[in-house]
Amino acid sequence: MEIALSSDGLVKTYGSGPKAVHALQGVSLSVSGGEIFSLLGPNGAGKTTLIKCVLGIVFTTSGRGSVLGSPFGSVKAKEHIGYLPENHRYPAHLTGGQVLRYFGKLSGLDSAKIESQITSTLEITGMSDWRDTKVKKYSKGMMQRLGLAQALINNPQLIMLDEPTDGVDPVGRKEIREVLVRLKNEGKTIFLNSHLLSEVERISDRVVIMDHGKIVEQGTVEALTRTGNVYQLKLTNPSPEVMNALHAALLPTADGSIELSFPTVAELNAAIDYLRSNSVMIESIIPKKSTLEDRFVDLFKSGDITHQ
Amino acid sequence: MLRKFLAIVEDTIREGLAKKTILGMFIVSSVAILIAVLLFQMDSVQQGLLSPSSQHIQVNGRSGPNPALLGVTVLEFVWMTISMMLLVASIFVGAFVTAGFITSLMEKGTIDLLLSKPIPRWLYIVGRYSGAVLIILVEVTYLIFGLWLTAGLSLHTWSSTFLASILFITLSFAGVYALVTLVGILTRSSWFAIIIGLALYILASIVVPIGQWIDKLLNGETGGGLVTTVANIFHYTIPSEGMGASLNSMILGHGAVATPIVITSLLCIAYVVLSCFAFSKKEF
Repeated sequence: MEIALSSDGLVKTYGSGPKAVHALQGVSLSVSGGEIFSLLGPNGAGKTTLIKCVLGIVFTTSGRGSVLGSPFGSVKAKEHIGYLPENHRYPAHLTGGQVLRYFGKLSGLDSAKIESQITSTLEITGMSDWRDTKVKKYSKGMMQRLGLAQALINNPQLIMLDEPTDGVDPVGRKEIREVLVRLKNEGKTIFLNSHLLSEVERISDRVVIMDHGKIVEQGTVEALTRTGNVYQLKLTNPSPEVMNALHAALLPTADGSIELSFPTVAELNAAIDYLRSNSVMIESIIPKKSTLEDRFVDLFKSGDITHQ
Repeated sequence: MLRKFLAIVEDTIREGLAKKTILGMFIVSSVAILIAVLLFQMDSVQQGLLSPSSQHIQVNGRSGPNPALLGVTVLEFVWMTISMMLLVASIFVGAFVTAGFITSLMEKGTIDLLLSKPIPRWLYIVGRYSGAVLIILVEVTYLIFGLWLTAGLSLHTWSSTFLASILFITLSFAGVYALVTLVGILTRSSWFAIIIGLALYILASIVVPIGQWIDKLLNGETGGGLVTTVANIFHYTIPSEGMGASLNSMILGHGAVATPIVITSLLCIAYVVLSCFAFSKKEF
């Protein structure tokens, strides 16, 4: 698959001397065309700086980067990029339609194309009824939807979204997720930066976890949330002898539930046979699935990432 | 590229109209034109305006007619006064009204969006600058053309030099605004841009006599000294200096002085180019 975005040893340092801030420290990654790629990390991890480097809003200190076949920040590449920044602001005196018309013109679209794109993007984001309302009357959630419409106005190949569901209610978040999946199915590449781990997990193909300007971990959501053969068993009054026998497979838990890890399904079945032969009632067996949040917390506990 | 440039200019004008100050300037201009319409209808005013100027000045302790105004009608003297007032007002009021156009561009939440669009950075500065100058051009044209037309219809005298002052005033504003733009980009503060820009403009108009005075104190002679030379260099790096004198000369029929016009035009270009360069190197 074609590479939409790649970076090699990207370094961005703000300032110099002892007060220098090392926002990016050798970031290398690649994003394939047509995937939803997410950046995760605590505040100050360098996520927004990375996006700003891609768009040429800040300049890289060293390293190389390419987006849609052009160097980072190139005007040519930006013709095919849509961007929704965090805490974006639109002129309060404009209506939603006027905002989109302005950004459509800045994107180089002709008048006819702009009008059709305004109609279509407002429809996609559920903002058609608010087209002629001034943005100063919009709620936070409506501003986010308008921001998304703005990011889509030029029918971009690559859509970069910084906290797209910030301030959006749960129903609105679900709708935005559906829009993103639909865009992905249309072949668009989506580069997502979000604090909402559950949201990222639901729609992302690949995830990068960053901290202090470095990539801590990257891979598919499946790979990052894989836990192995861990099962949560609910047992009725197992005797201490039984628990001793299962000791090797027991995992520590915070809530006192019994979690057992088995290298193979055959060993799980052997354990079940043992429990049943000792008249232990098994109420339920649930294969345990880890979440991105669990993975994030694990990294935090292991000191691979730190809170700022 | 032209479409994008026009979009930025249009956005600047929209932003200007959203600020009530520009609308206020149009209302004040309309009131001035209405007053002129009423005054020019009065016979005594008509006769007075068309009579020769009788302004006297003190020469060698004696009062006599101002030689610069010989053969000049009161109306031409009025035009000169109005033009000078407008020149000063357009620079000072104009700078206050339009300085925010550059800094609002760099506000957090706005600049990220703009820089993500397929537009070279310099075009934003040129577009915003052009939009601001266009607003002042329209304002000045509205007032001067309105007064000129009113006087022409009432007094049957059509002063082409007064009409030409539109270009002088707009160029003077454009010069100072180029300086304000550069300071605005460097400081990201519209207040700093206004204060520093206007302070430099005022300083440039008084720096040469001050330099001469210092030279006189130090060396006992006026002009030609080091301080005067430095003051002169500074004077010629600030746009719009001498435009008022050139405007006066033109309205009084002595022809426009070309040097300030050429210097202001070149400095306009230089400061806008510097602004574009500073903006293209800035990180947000």
